[in-house]
Amino acid sequence: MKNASWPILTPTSSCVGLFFLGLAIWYAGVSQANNGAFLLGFFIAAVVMISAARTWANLHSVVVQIEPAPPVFAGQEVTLPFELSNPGCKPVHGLEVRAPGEKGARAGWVGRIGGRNSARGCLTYPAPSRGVYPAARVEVVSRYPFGFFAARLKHTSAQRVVVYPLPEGDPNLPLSQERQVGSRMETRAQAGDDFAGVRPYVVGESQRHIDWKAAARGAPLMIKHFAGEAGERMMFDFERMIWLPVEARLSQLVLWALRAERGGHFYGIRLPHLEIELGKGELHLARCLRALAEFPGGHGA
Amino acid sequence: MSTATLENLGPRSALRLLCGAMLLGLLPLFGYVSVVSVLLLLIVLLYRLTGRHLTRGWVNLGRLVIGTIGVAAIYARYGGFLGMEPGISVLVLLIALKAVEARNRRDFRILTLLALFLCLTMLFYSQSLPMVSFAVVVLALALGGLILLETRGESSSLRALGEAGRLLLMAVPLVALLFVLFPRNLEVSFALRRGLFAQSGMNDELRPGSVSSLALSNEDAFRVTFPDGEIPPQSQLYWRGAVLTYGNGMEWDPGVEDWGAWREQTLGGPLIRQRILLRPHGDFWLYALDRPAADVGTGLLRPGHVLRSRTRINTRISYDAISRMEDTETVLSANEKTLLTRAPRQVSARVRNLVEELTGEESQPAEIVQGALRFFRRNNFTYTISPGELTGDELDQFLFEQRAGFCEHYAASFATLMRLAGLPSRVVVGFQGGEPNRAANYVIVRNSDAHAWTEVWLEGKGWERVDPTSVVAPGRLVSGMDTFLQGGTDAAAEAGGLAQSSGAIGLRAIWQEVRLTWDNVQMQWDLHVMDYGREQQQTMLSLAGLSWMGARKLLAAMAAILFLAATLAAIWFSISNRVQDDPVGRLYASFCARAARAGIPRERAEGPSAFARRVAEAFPGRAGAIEAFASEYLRRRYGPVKNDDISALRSRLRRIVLRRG
Repeated sequence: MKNASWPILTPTSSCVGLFFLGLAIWYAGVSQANNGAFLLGFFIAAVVMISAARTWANLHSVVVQIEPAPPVFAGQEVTLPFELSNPGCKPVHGLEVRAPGEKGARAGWVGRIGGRNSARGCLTYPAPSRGVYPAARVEVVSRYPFGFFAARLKHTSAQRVVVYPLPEGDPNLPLSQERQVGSRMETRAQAGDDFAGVRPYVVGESQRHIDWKAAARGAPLMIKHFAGEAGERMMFDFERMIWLPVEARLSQLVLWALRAERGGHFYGIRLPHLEIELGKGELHLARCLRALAEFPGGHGA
Repeated sequence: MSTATLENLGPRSALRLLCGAMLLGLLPLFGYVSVVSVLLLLIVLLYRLTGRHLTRGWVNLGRLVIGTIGVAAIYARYGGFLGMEPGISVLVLLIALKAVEARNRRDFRILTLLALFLCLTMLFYSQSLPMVSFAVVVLALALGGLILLETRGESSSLRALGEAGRLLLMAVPLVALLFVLFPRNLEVSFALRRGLFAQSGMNDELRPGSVSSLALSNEDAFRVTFPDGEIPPQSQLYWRGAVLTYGNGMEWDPGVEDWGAWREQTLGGPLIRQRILLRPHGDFWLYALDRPAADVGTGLLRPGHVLRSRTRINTRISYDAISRMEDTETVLSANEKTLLTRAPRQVSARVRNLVEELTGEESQPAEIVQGALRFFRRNNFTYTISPGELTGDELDQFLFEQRAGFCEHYAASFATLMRLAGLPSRVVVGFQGGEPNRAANYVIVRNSDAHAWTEVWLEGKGWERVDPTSVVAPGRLVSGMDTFLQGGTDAAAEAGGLAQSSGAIGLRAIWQEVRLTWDNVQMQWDLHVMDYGREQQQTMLSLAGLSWMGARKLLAAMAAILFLAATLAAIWFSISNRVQDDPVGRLYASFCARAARAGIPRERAEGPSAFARRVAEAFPGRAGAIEAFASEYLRRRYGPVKNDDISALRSRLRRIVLRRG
């Protein structure tokens, strides 16, 4: 696969210093009839021009491919994996992969790709608000060998990055809708009798069932987990959450979905345009989160 | 440290290479610029060479200390900051200041640029072939450092240097072209102040010891080629520098500058042309073979047949000179005669007696000259470079007590004797001899060849050269000072050229050969490359039919060549970075093409075995060969094949000959 376009070559700010050096050399050469100075000056000029060609050729053969980025929550950083491959027989050096359109992005760096080889890396940039975004425009820059010229290769990928809404809100799961009392959800977890085990405590969870004795002994915080707590069926209804604005509802739903999944419950989401049946598991969670991310009003929806 | 700073931190390997480059670049400046600033930079570089960074507090303190000491030292040494030596010292100091604090990539880049400036300064000192090569080596190291910067230290220093070297090598033909084309007719009217590295050379006062002190130096004074033909014999190689007409016994001075009317056409004999490459000496002397007959490009012919430059010789220059061997100035005005016979009034009794002896016996001037020479020959005078100090009446001491001296003693005393005898005479200071490189037809004249002799005016003949050294130490004139001092005179007196006079054949002769060849190489470098100026460029351009190109067109041509070269280089780099060959695939494609030509094209999604079967069915006669090919192909393509030998595949393909059936 060849690149769609050729790299663009531009001089960098280092060329300014070269200019002053050239001036000094010219002055020395002419005022003193110093041919040695001229020779040095021409060497520098010639090697800089040839290095421009080298910089261009260094990038010319490189093929960029953006790989699917794992979805993230709003406020986190998108990690965009890329693969740079060098189909030629000579190695390429010094490739920086940037996302010029994203503020606060951290570029990826590949020092050397041998002939007929490829290298992976990733660049990160802060995820904007929720939504489904096209992968950031990526630019591969190389200043090899001397840094006097920079060759740039732009690449746009058809990949899309899904940014879930930031999970926020009441961490306690609502029971099934039928138990709703008044305008607020009652939060009453049904107490089961059978001790089913312990699982690690996650910050933000209810602290009611923490195993304090073990914690006093020095163990990390664990939640005592009873049979009967898992397996709840809960259907989250977007329409009913009238005490929250739209985005806050989505954030709340995300949090609940995460908690429900972690709690091993069956959960589903009812949105105005879409209903996700009860279920559980990674795939189900992903479907729910995605639906919430794609809710109209966010980016790209 | 934040992540951003970590990323920007310059790699240690780059710093080390850069420090190495600058240490090398500093070497040629030792002894020529402020020692203190050089030492300061040396210390800083040696410290940074270990790859260590200093913390902010130490950095600031260090810079303060270095700055203060350096500035004070420069001011103390030079009394100011303008001029070449103080300027370069300031540059060295600036580099030291920057090198103390450099830690991130941007700093390293600035340091590299400063290293390149250092490269330039070493070329102010000398532009010999070794020096220019050295500058290119330092350039290569600096470029290697840049490569390490751009690979963020992930490549090895050796590989980086290799890449830098390769790129420089590719640049060589381009450099040659640019060098030849760059217009040389641009002149800058303001010259730098008296340059650093102008050697002190001859001066126009003659004192006991003034020439001998110069003769200790083996440095080049100038080189001469004779475009017309052979190098004249050693004993004829007198190089005229200055004429001294005011004498006081053993001490002589130039005297009144513009004595005598300027008369042309007072020289005779064959015309000898020379091309002279003069090393800078900071004064106005222009040397040429005795006796210069015409103005040269950069100087004028002055009374006494000496050449004087219009400006100080602070840079290497070359010029063409014309000389004629004989002086035929048969007329001397009364004024001149008085001037040129002015002798010291007080002389010792012995000297007076000697003069009376010389003039009493004979009255012919020529006989007087011979008589004086005989005096020197018969009285065991010796020629030595360190005769000891003369005290009291120096002339008397020399002639009757010490009787040992260098050429200045003999020339001065002889000329004085002549004047006391009433003959107009003068002292000439210059050089005698030189080291001929007969293979390459040039002569190297060194400071050690400095010489002083006299000229006596004989009625009806003109100014005759009389060299008293020739009677005291005849070997000196033939073998040159170098060999003479080494005691090789006896053999030299009979022998001619240098090869024989070097004494023992064998190692010494071989070494001599090597030295001369290397000297020749450098000479050619100086002559053709470093000396490349307006005239040479005009010659080259007219040879190429391009003499119509003015400065602007030449510059435009240079720019065009630069861009063309860059484009060619880009093409070259792209081509040499071929995408992977797939010989097996090519052979299979050739099989498919063959089958298609025979009427069985391969379907798009058809696999190799299925396709091969189809072709075999259509051409049952070739079924065996087709199957063999197909199985080999599958083995190569999909099987665990170790070697790259595809000759079997190729031969099997050859056996498949399909004809449209």
